[in-house]
Amino acid sequence: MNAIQEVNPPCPRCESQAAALMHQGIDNGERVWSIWHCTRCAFTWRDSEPPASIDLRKRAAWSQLKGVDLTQLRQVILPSDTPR
Amino acid sequence: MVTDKGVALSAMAHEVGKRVRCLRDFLELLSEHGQCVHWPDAVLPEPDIRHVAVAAGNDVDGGPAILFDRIRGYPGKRLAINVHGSFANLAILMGQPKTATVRELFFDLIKRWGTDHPLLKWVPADQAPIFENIREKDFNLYELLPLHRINASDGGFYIGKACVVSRDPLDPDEFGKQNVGIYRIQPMWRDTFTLLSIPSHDMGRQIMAAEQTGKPLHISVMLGNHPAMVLFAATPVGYEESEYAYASQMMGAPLRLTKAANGTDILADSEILIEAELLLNHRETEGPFGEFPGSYSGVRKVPLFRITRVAHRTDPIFESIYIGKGWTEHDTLIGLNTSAPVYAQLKKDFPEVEAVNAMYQHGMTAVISVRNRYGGFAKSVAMRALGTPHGLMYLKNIILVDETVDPFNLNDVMWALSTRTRAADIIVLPNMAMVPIDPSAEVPGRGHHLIIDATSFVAPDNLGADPHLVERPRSAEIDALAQRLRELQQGGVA
Repeated sequence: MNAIQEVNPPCPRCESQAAALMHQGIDNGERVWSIWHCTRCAFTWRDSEPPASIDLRKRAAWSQLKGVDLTQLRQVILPSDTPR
Repeated sequence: MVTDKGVALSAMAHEVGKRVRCLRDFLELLSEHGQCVHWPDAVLPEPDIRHVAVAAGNDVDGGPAILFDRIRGYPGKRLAINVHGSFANLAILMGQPKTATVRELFFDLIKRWGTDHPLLKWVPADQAPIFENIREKDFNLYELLPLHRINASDGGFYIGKACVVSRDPLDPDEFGKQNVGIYRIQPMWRDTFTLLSIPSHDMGRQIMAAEQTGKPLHISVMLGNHPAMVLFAATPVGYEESEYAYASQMMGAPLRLTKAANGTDILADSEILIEAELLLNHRETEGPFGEFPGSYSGVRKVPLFRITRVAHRTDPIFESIYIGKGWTEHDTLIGLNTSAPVYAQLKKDFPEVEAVNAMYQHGMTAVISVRNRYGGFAKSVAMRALGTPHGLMYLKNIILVDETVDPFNLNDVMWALSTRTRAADIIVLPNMAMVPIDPSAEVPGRGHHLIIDATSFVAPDNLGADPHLVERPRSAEIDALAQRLRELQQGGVA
């Protein structure tokens, strides 16, 4: 827990290796957790969270995005430059 | 009642209005009433904050606000949650005894409703507490705020209780068209976030206008706000009405505003300010998020904003909220303020309307008590409710009860459903517009609405078979006696 993680972890949601370190929580000079952000699917997680949120084997199957074409997701507000 | 001198408030309400200028003042006031708990233990952001918030929120009538200041990995940071999580807390904000009933709070709010006597005071930026600390670069939301995952399957660490200010990009000088709303915000990169709005919301209209014309859209995200402001940011008021005006009139005391660097008017005494600009036509993957119907919204592409400036008070308090399968702080926060505008709009045309309880999941179920002018009249009132701005999408199940039935007392409502409902008085309106996140929709945004007329027969209905109803004593005197009993139970002098 205290050693700084050197290898970026896979995303627990889309399983890509595209995580970037956002911030580390430090208490009394010791790292308590790290926050990662997946640059592919935009999932954000803290490595101290319970497995239901960050362990891809324990996460709800419906919430996984492995293999999903993210460009096909529904737009809540269509960009004005969308070809019609 | 609104008079020439403003809204007639009780002495205690005036006292609270004068004293509570910001979140800190309110937490102090709540503490004096035993309604704010300083959490003594060290907590992890997940799942501890969520669990404590749910425990507090389960006590709908009396649950306290919680203040955390020992969050692991966030030394020195403070987080408040469940501030609007009980009716006792709302009662204290309104200068009522904390044992006031929901019905009493509703009619108190109705008395204060409107924007005809706004009390707004402008404070120079260099005297505004929110600008005590300013950051112009190197933004990192994950470092700035003690963020936490609200529900286990959320896509990120949502900011669920921010008041977002924006000016109409096509009419930026018009104060009334400046919108203050609560929109869910998902931090993305260190200095970007998505903000979810739909085309029918004020912010959605402004995003579309900016992108269609290429004009910039600057917003101010205010965190840790005046408790009345949070109520009205979540209230469906008219597009050209100012939420600031509503909030100040409700408190009967000036609301202090100042200018953000991007020209928006912001609360001078809020805890944290994040100024940002819309990245025109950029979208990011957003969601899921455990929403107020108690289900997760899907993963979608949502407009993206970039931070331009950050300011905060010294030792700021980040205010968060637990939202999900009800009852939650979200339901208490918006319940009365969802009911009041529907009531005000109905009352204009139909003075027979007695009260509106639209507290359930933002009005997805609403109970309207109304005196039947003639047989079938109540159904027309329900149709009118469906035609109000909030009713168009949100009012899905409407239950109509007699004027003698208290819509805030579910035992009363169940009596009406049990004894006054005839199956022939149930109407299903197929394939109407619905809230897109309603999990019972046929397709997102479309589904059936339901009207249950549980009022009594009146002419020209066939009254021959209708039994005479028992008249239950019900008057201001009974209400006063009930209040006295509550005080006696609490050991007070009555």
